[in-house]
Amino acid sequence: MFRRKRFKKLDNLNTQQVLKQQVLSSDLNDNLQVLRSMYQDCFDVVFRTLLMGGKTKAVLVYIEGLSNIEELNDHVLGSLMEETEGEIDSPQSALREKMTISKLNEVKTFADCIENISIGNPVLLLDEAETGLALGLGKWEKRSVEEPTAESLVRGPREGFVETMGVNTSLLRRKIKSPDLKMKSMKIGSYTSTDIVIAYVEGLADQSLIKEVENRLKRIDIDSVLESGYIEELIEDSPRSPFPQLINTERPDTAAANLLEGRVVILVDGTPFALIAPIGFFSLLQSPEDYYQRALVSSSIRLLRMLFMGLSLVLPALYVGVTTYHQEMVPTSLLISVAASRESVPFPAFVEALLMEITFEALREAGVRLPKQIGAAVSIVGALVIGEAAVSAGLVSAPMVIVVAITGISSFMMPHYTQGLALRLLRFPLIFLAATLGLLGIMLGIITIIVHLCTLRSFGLPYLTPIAPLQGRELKDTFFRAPWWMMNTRPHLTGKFDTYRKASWKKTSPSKEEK
Amino acid sequence: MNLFLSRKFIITLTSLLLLSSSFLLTGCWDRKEVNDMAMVLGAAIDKSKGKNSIELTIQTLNPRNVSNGQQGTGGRGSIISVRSAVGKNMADAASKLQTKISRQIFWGHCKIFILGKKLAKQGGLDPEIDFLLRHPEPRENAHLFVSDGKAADVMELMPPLDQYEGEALRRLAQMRTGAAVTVNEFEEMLTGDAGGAILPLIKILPRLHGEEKKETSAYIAGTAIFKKDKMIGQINARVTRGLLWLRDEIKVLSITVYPKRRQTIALDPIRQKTRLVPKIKNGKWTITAKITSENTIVENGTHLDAMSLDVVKQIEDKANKALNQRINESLSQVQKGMNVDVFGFAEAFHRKYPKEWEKVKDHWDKVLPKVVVNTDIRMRIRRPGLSTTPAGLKKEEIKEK
Repeated sequence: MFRRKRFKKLDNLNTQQVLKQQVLSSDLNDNLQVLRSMYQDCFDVVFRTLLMGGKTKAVLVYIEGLSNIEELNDHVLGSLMEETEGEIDSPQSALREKMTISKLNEVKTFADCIENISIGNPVLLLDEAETGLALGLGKWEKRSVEEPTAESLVRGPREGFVETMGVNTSLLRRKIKSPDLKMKSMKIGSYTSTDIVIAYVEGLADQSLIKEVENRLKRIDIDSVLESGYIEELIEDSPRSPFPQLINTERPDTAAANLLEGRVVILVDGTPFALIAPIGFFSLLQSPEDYYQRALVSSSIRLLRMLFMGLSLVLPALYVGVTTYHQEMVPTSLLISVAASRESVPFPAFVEALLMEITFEALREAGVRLPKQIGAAVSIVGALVIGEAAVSAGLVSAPMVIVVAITGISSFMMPHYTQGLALRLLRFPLIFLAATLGLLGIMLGIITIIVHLCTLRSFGLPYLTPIAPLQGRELKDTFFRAPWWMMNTRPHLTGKFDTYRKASWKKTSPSKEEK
Repeated sequence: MNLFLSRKFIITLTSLLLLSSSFLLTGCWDRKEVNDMAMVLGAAIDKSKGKNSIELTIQTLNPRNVSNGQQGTGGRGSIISVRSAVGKNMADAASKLQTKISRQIFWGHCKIFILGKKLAKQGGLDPEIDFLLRHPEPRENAHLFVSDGKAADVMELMPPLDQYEGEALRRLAQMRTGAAVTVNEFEEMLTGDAGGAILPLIKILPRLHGEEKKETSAYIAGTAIFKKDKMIGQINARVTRGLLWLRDEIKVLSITVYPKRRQTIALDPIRQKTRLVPKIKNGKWTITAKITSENTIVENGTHLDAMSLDVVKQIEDKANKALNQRINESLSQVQKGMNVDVFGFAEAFHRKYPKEWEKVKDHWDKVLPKVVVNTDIRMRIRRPGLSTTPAGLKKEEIKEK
């Protein structure tokens, strides 16, 4: 009935493609005609015709706003339009000598032309020359390096990735100065031709992993990549799972730390979010600050985070399950106050929980989407609706409000937003299970989740490492964060090619000679 | 290919729907909202006037009257309501009670059960205990009591400190000022070698002047002694202590010794341990109760210097004697007077002399009166308290011997 329909290739895309492959001809007018037809109805593309040295006809093609006009005027147009004595044998080489620009590239095909023009390099086409010159004068408006807003820290670097690839790679390069930091570039997206950079540290990262990442990226056939989320969904192992199998980060320090553990960082032009692969479930519970604060403090915060991860997943379900099936499990005095506050509530606990959770999620979403000025108003209304009015109107009970509030806070505690989202989503089926089967249902749900987590792979890495399979040595950086003088090995599955971070298992102590 | 209309997707969706019905159709059958149930917080079982029938009285939570922070302090009335019904047995009475209560009775939080004295003395408690153990809801660790008067009267009390009488009694039992026995322990005692059992005996505290009629609480006034499932006697609080010392269940009680006439020293036990050592020699059965106890002095009403080792020794001797006397008193009342073994002697003999035990186990109550009980008491004073010398005395008045 619903048989596959064959995809129809877009026709105009094809003609474009054919034109692009063409080589520049020696006739300037021909070239111009082709370029003009390509850039038809593009008012921002400038064709500047000029006479070089008063003799040779030349055309400068660039896009307004993408190129540095001042430099173009000073260093290119000025020198080009100077009258020159005598005949020039090869205008190309003469130009190379004359122009005071560091980056000059020869372009031979229209494809090259378009590529250079699109990234802001003006292309100079000469009459009677089969090659043009691309001038490295790209300059466009970009955001400066700012503190990442999605992952803020108390202690740690304040810089974050920006939308520009060049800045992002430089931020990484400034962290890892070794030439072993490799960055392979490719372009994805037939319209956007977005720059993608695969960064890794040679000697640390598994060669087969890099190959796999490259292969997966190469297989992508998509018209546009506007954010790294596109790439993430296209290359992850189980796209249907609620759990993220790649971490996205705005922080160069996080990216660098992962590179040094043998992982691969995928940078996407046009977004500050870099992707890290492969990752495990427990990487999602780690904040970069864990590594910057004192080990004891970080370890206890990690334990707290684990606890609240559990709470954010099961707390409403637990409340529903216990109050509808297992009342004997609650201490008597607590049950008495729960009973008292539930007395005037017209809904069963399940409906109450669902109502509150959905309201909370709606409020959260509204708060995120709205402009900042209105956001405050939403939170006030929300606090009133959820906290005060709903209880005094007798629609929900006060303990339920507390449960929802704790759940909300605990889901915000997750250092990686994407994981918080996954847990939030799974909360609802668990509430449903708790309402139908009680604690048994919750256990079934949790077992299902754990089995699912066990089957997940991130680029072949078991998702639950180092718990399943158990890697005793890696537990130092899972539930606890061992002090740096004990963290002498890299994670086994990603860093096995250079196991030791530091020479020995030793902390620095006062030197003996000072006595 | 449209993902949402593909055959695979439809099959997955259908199977998911079918799977979810297995939850929806089978689940929920025992769903019970907190506000659909009547929480039983205490129950009293009395002998009814009718033949072979009991009267079951329960106190259930009245959630409307629970004061919760926001809606001002104090409810409009008591947070409990008391209902009773007569039935042939517990289950019968409970189902008759259900007809009088608009919400489903829930036993899961009933932490105390009180037996009326008449019912206890009539014997045949097995069916009631069986209900408490067999029914899934009542707790096996609920405390059992015997009420001196009618048990139902206790249910209606409004204790001044706690929210309801059940809670007050549970706290009393957990403080272990007297015997504290749960349903489970009672059953164990009844089925044990000795066949004797104890339950705390409660009385209603006489109300103070100016208090409303029900505004008082019950207290543990002694111990009811059971032989098999029949109550055969009772002992008062004082004798109970001797009993509890032998059962190694004593807690938070101070001991008063009289080193001199009319002068007292009070000791608070820190920790204590009782070990029953049985011995059969030439057909003579003896039990030695080895009691060690460490104490602190909390009050010194004598002229003696508690820091002096001689004095300490002297006090210890007196304390040994006082305790010995206590224990003998309870032995004479229970072992000799009622001829019932609630001390754990039978278990002690059974454990050490299984062969000899086999011979006497059918007529243990004939052997029991002949068992000689010795005591080996070692009271130790470990701490003199926060002051060294007796208060209010000059140095010359203090005696070091």
